[in-house]
Amino acid sequence: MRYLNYFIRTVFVIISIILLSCTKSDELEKTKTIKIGVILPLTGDIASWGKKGQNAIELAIEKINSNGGINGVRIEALYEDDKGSPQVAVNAVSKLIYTNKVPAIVGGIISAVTLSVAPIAEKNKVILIATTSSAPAITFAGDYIYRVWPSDLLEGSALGKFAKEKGFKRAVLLHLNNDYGISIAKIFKKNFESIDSKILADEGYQETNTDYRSILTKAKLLNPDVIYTAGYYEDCARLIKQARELGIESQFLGVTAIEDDKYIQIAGSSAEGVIYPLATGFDLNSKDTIIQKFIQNFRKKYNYDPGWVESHCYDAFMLVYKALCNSKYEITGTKIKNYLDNMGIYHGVTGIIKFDKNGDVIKPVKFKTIQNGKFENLEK
Amino acid sequence: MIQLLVNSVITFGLIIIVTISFSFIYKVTKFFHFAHAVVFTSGAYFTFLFKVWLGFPLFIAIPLAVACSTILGCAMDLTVYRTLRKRKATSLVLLLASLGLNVVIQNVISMVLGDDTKSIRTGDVQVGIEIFGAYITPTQIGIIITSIVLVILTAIFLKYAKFGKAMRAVSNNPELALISGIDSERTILYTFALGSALAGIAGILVALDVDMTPTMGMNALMMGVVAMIIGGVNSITGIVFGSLLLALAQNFGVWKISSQWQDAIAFIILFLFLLIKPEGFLGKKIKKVSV
Repeated sequence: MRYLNYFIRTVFVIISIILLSCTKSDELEKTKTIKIGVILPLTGDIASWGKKGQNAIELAIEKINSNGGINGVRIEALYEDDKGSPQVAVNAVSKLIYTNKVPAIVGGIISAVTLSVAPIAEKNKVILIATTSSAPAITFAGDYIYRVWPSDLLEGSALGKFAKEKGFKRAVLLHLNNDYGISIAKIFKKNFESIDSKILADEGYQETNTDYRSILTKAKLLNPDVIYTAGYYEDCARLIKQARELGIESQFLGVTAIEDDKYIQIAGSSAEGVIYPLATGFDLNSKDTIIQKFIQNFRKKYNYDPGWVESHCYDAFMLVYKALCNSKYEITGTKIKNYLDNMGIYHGVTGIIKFDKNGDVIKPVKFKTIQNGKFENLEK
Repeated sequence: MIQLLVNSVITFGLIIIVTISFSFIYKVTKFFHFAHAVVFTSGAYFTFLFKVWLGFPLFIAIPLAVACSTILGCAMDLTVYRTLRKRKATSLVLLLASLGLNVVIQNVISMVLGDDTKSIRTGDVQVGIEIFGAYITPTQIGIIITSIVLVILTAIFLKYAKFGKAMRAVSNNPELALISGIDSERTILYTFALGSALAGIAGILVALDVDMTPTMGMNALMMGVVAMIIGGVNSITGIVFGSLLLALAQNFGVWKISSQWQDAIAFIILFLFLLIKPEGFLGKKIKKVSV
């Protein structure tokens, strides 16, 4: 028995030495590449977006490294999975900042994640460029917090005004019960309400809910002519599907987030005719050469057309690269911040990017719909 | 109004099978088999595997999937629970083990098949049939009928079949059952088999209505546990009442209170019952007699 004890202890010591020597060599590895943190929902309910973002960033890295990287040093992305959850994101970002000591993090995709990790980045002077987060609160999240996607104030107000102008008078809002859903529903409300147009109800639903029959029955009884679903593609798709099953015939309005193949897959034919805004300069039919070149390169590498997730993740990552190129070997968040604040106009694949004093951008809004199972521009 | 009633019946149909199957596993083995949630999920996902990956038609995929869920449930008992029972583990230990099983297997499903919503629905979105002003789709009608038939069959089975009586004997008094010649380990295994088969079917029914995600099991099970406790563990009629009450409360509750509280309503009812009538709707207070 005693010998067994000694044996186990010796093995333990040997294993520890091996592990320690592994980390030692990691230190040497570090100087060979410049590492940028990336947080994406690689698994979870919105994993579709995470994968798209990763594709875009991989393309960006390929382009950057084939052009010599940053002053001859290759760039590398450290991916962390936030699972679409703020709690997991906090752990992921803490690791990137305290263990990996990255100067900048690209992400998150959803506002809840961005808002939860912004304080950590801000405190440690690490740049956070949110790719597609739209909650208005992010405007005030910090000096090191930027985003390449406009605030919901843009999307929500444009859609609210649009609905009002189209003559809809009785609206029901169904919003996902998180930072994003609650705030965009509020903005829509503010812009829709007038003497003629009223909000009959503003109901919230939980992310874990998949059965919306009760909330939809309530909506149906109020007899609205328009229903606004403010959530992500899965829940919005289920909402419109179950609404049609219940015989609700109102016009459905969606959010930009519904422009995803999964939405059409889940909602099927019930998705026909839904109208939603798109607040970005990225357009597959754009005549802009920079945008077209990106689309071609992306198509060549991945065999499918990029969408708004890919284009924004690409731009966000490219911005970090551009900033570091101009920072004369000082790879810190503060240096990146100096660049971003003073860069003027950046011509990206999502159009013109110019950060205002809060790190926000302004983009044109257009309206789209789903026709014959495809996302089409809305004809006036 | 009628729509709310119809919705309640649909919700009832969706939770009753999970609840009943969970309750008799609980009665016979005396611990909370949380991994029941993942057996429920596996029913749907096995169907997906057979239908979408292997291309079998639904009427072959479903029985195969139910068989696989049954095997999964039995495997859990044979490998984990039986070993723990041999070592005289307490129900707390078994509960923790079942939580662990749940997490591991759910994550295996996520890893292999992905976290996004998968569908086994055939055909397109159907507008419901209108009955007395309420809408209900043919699929939902099918779900309700299947659930009710299964409940009745299970009740008859438990009351009259030899195995049903054996189950009741083991749940009542394991030592006496053993002395009377009932192999309690075998009975427990068969209980798991039956319970898991029912859970698999329940998972498939839910997936036919609202598609599947890897986490769907825990939600359904939580509702099932609440229904079981408020209905009283000891009788199927009690559980039926409990599930009906829960379904009605959730659907009608949302009418007056904001729908964010839908899940909270279930747990508030649970609290109230635990405070006022812990043995449940139709339960009787059991008095312990010591010799």
